[in-house]
Amino acid sequence: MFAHLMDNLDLWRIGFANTLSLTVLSFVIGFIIAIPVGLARSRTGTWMSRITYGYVYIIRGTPLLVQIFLLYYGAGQFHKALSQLGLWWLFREAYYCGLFALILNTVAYQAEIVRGAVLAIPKSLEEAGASVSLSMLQIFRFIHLPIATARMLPALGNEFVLLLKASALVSVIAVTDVMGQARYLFSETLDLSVYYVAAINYLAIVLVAEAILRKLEARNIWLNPR
Amino acid sequence: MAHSDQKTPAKIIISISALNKWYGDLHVLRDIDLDVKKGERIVIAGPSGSGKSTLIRCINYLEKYQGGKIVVDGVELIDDRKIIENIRREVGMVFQSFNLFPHLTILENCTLGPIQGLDLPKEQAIEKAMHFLNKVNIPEQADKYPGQLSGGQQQRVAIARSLCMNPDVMLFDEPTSALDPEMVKEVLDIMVSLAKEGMTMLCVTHEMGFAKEVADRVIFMDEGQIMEQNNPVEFFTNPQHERTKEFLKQIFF
Amino acid sequence: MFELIALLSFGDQGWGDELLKGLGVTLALAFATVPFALIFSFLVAWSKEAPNRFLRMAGHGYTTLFRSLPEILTLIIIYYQSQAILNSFTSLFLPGISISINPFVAGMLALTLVFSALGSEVVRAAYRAVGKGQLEASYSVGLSSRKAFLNVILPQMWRHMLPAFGNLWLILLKDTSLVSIIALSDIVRYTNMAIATTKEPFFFYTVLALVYVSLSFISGRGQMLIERRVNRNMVGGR
Ligand SMILES: Nc1ncnc2c1ncn2[C@@H]1O[C@H](COP(=O)(O)OP(=O)(O)OP(=O)(O)O)[C@@H](O)[C@H]1O
Ligand SMILES: [Mg+2]
Repeated sequence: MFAHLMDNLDLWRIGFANTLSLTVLSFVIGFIIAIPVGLARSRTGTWMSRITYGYVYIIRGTPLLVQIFLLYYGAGQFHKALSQLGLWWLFREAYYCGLFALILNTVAYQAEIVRGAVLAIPKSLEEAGASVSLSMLQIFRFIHLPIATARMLPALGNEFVLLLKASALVSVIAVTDVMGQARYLFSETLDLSVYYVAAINYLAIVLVAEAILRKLEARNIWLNPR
Repeated sequence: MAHSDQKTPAKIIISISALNKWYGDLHVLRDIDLDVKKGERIVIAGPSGSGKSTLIRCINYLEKYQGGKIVVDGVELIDDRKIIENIRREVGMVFQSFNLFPHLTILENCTLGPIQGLDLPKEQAIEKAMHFLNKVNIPEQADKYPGQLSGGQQQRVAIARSLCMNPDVMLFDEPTSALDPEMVKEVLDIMVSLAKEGMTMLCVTHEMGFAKEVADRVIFMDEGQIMEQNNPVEFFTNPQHERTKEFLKQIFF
Repeated sequence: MFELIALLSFGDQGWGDELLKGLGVTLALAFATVPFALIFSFLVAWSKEAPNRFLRMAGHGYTTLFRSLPEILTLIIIYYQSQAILNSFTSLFLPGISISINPFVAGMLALTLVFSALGSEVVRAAYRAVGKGQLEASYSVGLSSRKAFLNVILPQMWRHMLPAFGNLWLILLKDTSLVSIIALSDIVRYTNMAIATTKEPFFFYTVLALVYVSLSFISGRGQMLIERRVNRNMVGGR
């Protein structure tokens, strides 16, 4: 029954690598962008906060599928302009386009996580830091950053899993990730078991990711003392 | 306004003159004049909202002010990063709600300031921290996290954390009012022994027993002003102002 | 610009009526899924709290599984696998007849599985939030455990569940777009058809995005109204 698995090991390997790299890259790049976006979001009342809110609202209000279609096929209409800007490669190459869509998507969700963590740090700790003569930068580095990171960890772990699942959608623009390979193999063999192989791939990544997350969380014993 | 009338040669370490502060339209500090001599122990009392916290928070520039002048150890407090960080090095502060860093162990709470703010080598910072943790009677808790300690223990750590900076002055903002009654004494005992060692202290507190035992001067504030100040014996037995009498009556039921 | 807007008109020339029809399918799918998704959420939550160890393991396994699999994969597996099962049944009992699975039903089933994997956690959290004290109080006034749940615990749980369920509803609404991949004619599929003829992907996908944002907006408003109503009852009870 699983003969096709052995025959197509290389395809699966490529698919696995693509899924993993798409997820990890978009997660990390998304996080870096989400920090300033989340900070801007948490300054209520400023125009920066309104713009970022609009961004988050639109991204969270539309299916990723539609976002991917819009980027990949929609951009085709602006071929000329994009070529002139030197950005065409980003939209022509399905992998990059998918990566781009995932980043745009996860930034919106991670920015909300950053914002929540920032709002949860009590102002009084800044004062305590100042009272032992820490500079603003030191307060950020030794107080804000570690506390916020620890607070964000569970939500970030959750977002990683969601992003992994979301990455399967890039298969609709023919990226050869796990899902893409499964769909290709199914069209070739009409053997349903390829989808179960794909499922095992995703399940394995989630289980490993969650094990790592638990290890990381265990280091923050201060969050649940006693 | 009664001024400190002794003309002793002791050095003046904090000098506040004509201090004024507003929160929007709210005038919270009105023309405060106060000189603190080295080694002096001052207790500040007064009804809620009278500006006690605001006053002592101005001294290490946790609050900005709009008028007047504060000089700490010969240096005028101005809005300059270096000057403020320097002054905060000399002025320790203990908060009502402890404000320990929850993500750091007790030991790390005490060494963060010395290592990062004073550039002390780590071993020395640890040695110093253990010295002061011993002094506040909780060396055995050094590796725990704040959340694992009782309120009284946390406040003692907060005192040790301040002491690790070798401050010339210690500010206390109601250090015992967030504590369960049975823990008040363990914190006051530490404060008394600090006072006996000659630490310059400004304490906002309603612990009148503490004031009687150690204060050189008790200051009564109301509506942003210093209404009255005197040595504790005079202050408690012979208050001048109506408001002071009322306040003392409330405190002693 | 005007030519583009004209593409949205109704009738032979425009795609407005088709898109509206697709929107109808999208909404029908979302609404039809909700009752099943809710029931499954409660069932799975109940199995996670059951005294039986195997039931508990099954409940947690269910959540882990459907929380980990991409929704599109779940959907495709459900669609083809149920077709395969149906085929083997019909060939056994009704040879010569072929029944094909309705993609709408497959979509409902897949979305129910996905929703209830997360929804069961919402139910569990709400149950804990209401607290054991309420249950004990109900027993102390002589209610059976069934009555206690229905009359005391459940009414209080809604308040805790509403915000999270509102969130899940938005996820569900967006996930319906996936059924376009298994050939159900929802709004995404009609949009794709429109693009195939008009060659205006940017315009149509933008319109599509706006439709979804509007649905989210309306949902948000609706959720606010419902929450206000539920909480008003709570305050009134004090
Ligand atoms: N950040 C702020 N913004 C606006 N008003 C403030 C702020 N902080 C304090 N106030 C106001 O300033 C006044 C003085 O406050 P302060 O905290 O100094 O009083 P306090 O004497 O310490 O009172 P308590 O005994 O309650 O601690 C109060 O009326 C208070 O409401
Ligand atoms: Mg105060």
